[in-house]
Amino acid sequence: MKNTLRELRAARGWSQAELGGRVGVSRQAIIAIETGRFDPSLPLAFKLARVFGARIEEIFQEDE
Amino acid sequence: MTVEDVFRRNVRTFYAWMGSVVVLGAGPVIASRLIHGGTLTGRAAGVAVGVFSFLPWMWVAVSTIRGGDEFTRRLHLIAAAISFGGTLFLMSALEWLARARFIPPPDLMIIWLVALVLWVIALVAVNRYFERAR
Repeated sequence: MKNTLRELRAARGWSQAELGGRVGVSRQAIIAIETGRFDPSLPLAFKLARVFGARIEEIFQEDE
Repeated sequence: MTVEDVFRRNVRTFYAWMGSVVVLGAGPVIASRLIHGGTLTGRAAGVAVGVFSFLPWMWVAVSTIRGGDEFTRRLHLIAAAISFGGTLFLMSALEWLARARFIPPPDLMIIWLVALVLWVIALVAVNRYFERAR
């Protein structure tokens, strides 16, 4: 899965640790999601979508 | 949970890790001394100390994993799998080398020490892997 988490986070001026705190995961988890190597669970994807006020498919897209 | 709460929890976890590692390191040394004392009671105490010195470390490791998020759990799952696979390979290699009489029967302590070291190396390597951009 590819995602736009880094761009969305940067647009709000949040650090990785800050975003992690908002959704209840570690900074390392956010780093791993942003690098595209770790796909979050559905509950975490929903939390991320909620904090950015976006839909899941706007943040996460299938790899081509 | 506030930043202060997280900091306090991390400090507690750090001290728990340090304490358990000290027990883990001192346990085998004390156990060896007791075993080589020669008496039956001493040998039994040595076995107990050797075996149970693992427990605090295991408890801290399990608590850390259970208290972690889904990424931490994934990290530990992969590291444990690598450690398990590596140790199994080592045991098999040592077993066949010993059967073929290339080496004497191996010391079992080597196996669990290698398992521990492999687990730590795997944790670091897997963490690096997830941090690197695709």
